[in-house]
Amino acid sequence: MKTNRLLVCLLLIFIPIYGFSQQSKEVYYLYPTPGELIAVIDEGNLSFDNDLLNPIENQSKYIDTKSRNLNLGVYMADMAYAAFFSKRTKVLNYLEVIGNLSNYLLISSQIKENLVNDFTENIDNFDSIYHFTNVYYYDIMNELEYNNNANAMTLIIAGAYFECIYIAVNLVDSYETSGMLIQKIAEQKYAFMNLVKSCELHKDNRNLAAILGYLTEIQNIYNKVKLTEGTKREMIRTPDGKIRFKGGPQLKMEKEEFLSLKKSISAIRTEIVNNL
Amino acid sequence: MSILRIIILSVVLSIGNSDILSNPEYCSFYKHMNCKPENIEGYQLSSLSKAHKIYVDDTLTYELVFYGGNEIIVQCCTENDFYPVHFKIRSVERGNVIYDNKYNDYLDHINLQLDYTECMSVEITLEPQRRKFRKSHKKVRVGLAIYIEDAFFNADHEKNKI
Repeated sequence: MKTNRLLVCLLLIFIPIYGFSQQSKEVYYLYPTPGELIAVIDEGNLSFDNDLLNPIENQSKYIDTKSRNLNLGVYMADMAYAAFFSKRTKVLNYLEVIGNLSNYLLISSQIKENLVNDFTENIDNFDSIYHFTNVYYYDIMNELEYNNNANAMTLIIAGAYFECIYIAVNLVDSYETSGMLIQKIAEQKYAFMNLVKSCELHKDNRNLAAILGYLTEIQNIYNKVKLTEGTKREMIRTPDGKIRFKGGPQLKMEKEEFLSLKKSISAIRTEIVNNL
Repeated sequence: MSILRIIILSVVLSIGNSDILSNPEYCSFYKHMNCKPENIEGYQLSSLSKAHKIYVDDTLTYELVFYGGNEIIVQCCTENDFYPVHFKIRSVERGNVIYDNKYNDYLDHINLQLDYTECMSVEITLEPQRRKFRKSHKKVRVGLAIYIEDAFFNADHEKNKI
């Protein structure tokens, strides 16, 4: 009797491994690094404004997991922004803070050692520094993902995205004269959509549940940004074998939506960096 | 067979079949030579590249943002015995398929450019030709390598010196 019960239990435990997992449909959401995001937004002509960065002195406020991970993302975005504009001293300052905050994550010391070595050896090469900010971010995210630390990863990505959009919206002089930059900000709608979907997968974690509130607020604004029908999308095959999708729908952000986004993202970012 | 043996065998089999103890070398499979397009001059590997392991007949879906105006190469790859790789690119917002490599001789890459930014899903399935591999019960490495033109990555540092 006991033997039978045990066998039934074993079957129940192991059937999902051999059965259901083969039927699974897996969806993964992919995100560009903050550096790549800044490069995208720069197509709308960004400039450097020191006042928009989170001061390194704020790191003493981050004493809990949520604020540490969120602000690790914020500082990574700031470092990428500073590196993009060749601000060497700023990059080095942020490097130290990022090193301190990432000590709380379960990532290998090898990643940190590589970063310090790469930066010290290439300190005069701006292209390399900018490149390494991307590599470092990517390595951390990869390690967190494969250590099944999706909660930390999602918080860091969210922090980095809030900071990138905060910087971008605050560099808009006026809605009327910054058409290209507004367009690039509008296009981040999709990145936020994916971030909300990722966050919802882990919303039983209270830190992520808290951040989901922020993300939903931003998503609600972005939901008002609609696709406008342009010309019908055409697939054109060029003589060198490339495929170009010409035309198609385009996002259009109205002034009211932009102002609403600027207000919300600034308020959220203030709460994050001050750990309110 | 004793109960203890059954338990040990079951646990060993299940762990061996899961990713718990498997070497995570598949994580960087998108850098494998199978994932390298023939001509990548002027392109750089993007952080959007990823790799996972799937069973034959499963669909692996990646959702990512294709930024308008940039030329990109989407390369889908797997282990040698499991070709061809079938992939579709679908607009997430509209749900329509904008590209299916089935109509392009199952070519494992596409070099494309979108005029406008859009969220797309890349749906990858393996359709191995040989019956032996079609019936395979092991997970197989699959990579999605995204290459973006150099200009996208290169900050104009002269312009940026303020």
